[in-house]
Amino acid sequence: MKFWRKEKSILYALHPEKIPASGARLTYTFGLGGIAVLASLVTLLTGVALTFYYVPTPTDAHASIILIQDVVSFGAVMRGLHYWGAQVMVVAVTLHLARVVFTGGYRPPREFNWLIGVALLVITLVWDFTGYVLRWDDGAYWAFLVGTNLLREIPAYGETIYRAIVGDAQIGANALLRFYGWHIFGLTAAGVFGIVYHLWRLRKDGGISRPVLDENETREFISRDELFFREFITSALISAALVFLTLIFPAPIGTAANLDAGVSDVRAPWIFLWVQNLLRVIPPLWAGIIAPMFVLALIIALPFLDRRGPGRAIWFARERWKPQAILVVIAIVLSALSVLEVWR
Amino acid sequence: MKLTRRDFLTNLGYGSFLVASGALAALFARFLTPNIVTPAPGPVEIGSPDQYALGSLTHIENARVYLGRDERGFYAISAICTHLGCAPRLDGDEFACPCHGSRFARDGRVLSAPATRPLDRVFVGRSANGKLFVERSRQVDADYRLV
Ligand code: HEM
Ligand code: FES
Repeated sequence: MKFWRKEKSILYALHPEKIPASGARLTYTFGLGGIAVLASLVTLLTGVALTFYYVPTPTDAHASIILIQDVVSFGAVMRGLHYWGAQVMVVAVTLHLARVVFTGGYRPPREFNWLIGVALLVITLVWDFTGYVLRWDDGAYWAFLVGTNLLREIPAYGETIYRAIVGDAQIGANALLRFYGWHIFGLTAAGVFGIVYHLWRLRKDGGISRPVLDENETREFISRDELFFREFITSALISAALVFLTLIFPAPIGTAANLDAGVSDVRAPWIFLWVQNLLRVIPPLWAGIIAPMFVLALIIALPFLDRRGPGRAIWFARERWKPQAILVVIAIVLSALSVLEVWR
Repeated sequence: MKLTRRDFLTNLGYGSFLVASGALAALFARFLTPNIVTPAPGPVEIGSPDQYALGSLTHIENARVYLGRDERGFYAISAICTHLGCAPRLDGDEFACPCHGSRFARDGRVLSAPATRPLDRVFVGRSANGKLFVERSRQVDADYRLV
């Protein structure tokens, strides 16, 4: 009796027998979605390990991270992989979104998966922010304070929303416990569900998008084993990169948050620098709530500005110039605002 | 179009599912909104009056205020930025906020945006034993002084 057959493994169930060569080409997807999945698995696994030492209270949070970092065997590696896994996840998800826009991968019937993808982007960013708060060092504390105070700027319901999210009239033990709950459970459940749904839907939509063929062209395919091989190589390289990053650049941690003293320089986590800079110049409601919502709405709308016609699954197809132009403008504006903030 | 009994019941099913989901979401939202919150901090004792020289402005960290003394008496300026709550610090003769760069004058007036409101004034009192205290949760006018 054969105990284990690869044909019956879950990996086989998740991969079709053969897939069109065009979609599996490195220069089509750059493997970005897969990299995001791998990074999320690394983050998940190391995150579970961290919970065994991390203490989600204002008095002990920072000290427990220092303990992980300096005393626990492989603690710095575990935390470093968690940190770098999260960073790589954010970068991979963002670039993956850009790839989908520039290749027109959102075309029908894939618009619904685009929407799941946008939800995953939001989940990733909130996941990241809630994790950042857990450090409870100076940087995290002030970012948390400003980020939550922004909720109060929402007309009429601001204070109610603030309390529903923070769990108190100001940030402190309740808020930290809540953000911990969201970080390790709420967002993890939503994220894992979202990723599984996204991948399932990918197969239901007929796999990765591919160009419309001329009559005289025939479609080429690669086998499942070839696909496994490529995924294996990509995973090995990304894993090596994560280990390398962890060993060379330790995950940052500042001094324990001191609510009373204040600090001379406060900087938001890099993904939100653009918001911090906008807050310097326009009213909080506009900079902190309306502007991010507007960018999100624009991103959600991109596929609906371009429905059909030639240009599917071709990089930078002219026929689809509108969504691409909008994305480029968003990228330039957000990067410019972030860079201005770094310069100060 | 005629509504068959089957369609009617199907719609009823979907409808009640929708209503139940909405109710569940509302229940969760309400559950997450606390019924009691941590009370605002009470009075904080800050030492005796002669610790603070005439014309001085001293950062009192644990009370999150700057205590000032002028010819008319003692006053306290809140060290919480009126923009989004960071902690402005005395930089020369002005307060500078590290988060988005608001600046306030020595008396709390706004010198530069994004803040639009002056820094709050906080109540300063003297207890029976002669020591000073400040009470963050009590706001006072800019010309309030403890004499
Ligand atoms: C099952 C999933 C996860 C669990 C159980 C988990 C758990 C934890 C714990 C306990 C901490 C605090 C310890 C520390 O700061 O070193 C933490 C920090 C953090 N987490 Fe997670 N996490 C998970 C997933 C994620 C994901 C997907 C992201 C981002 C996309 C993320 C981003 C962060 C960040 C940025 C920090 C702060 C990192 C640092 O400086 O140490 N986490 N997480
Ligand atoms: S919180 Fe002080 S300038 Fe924004």
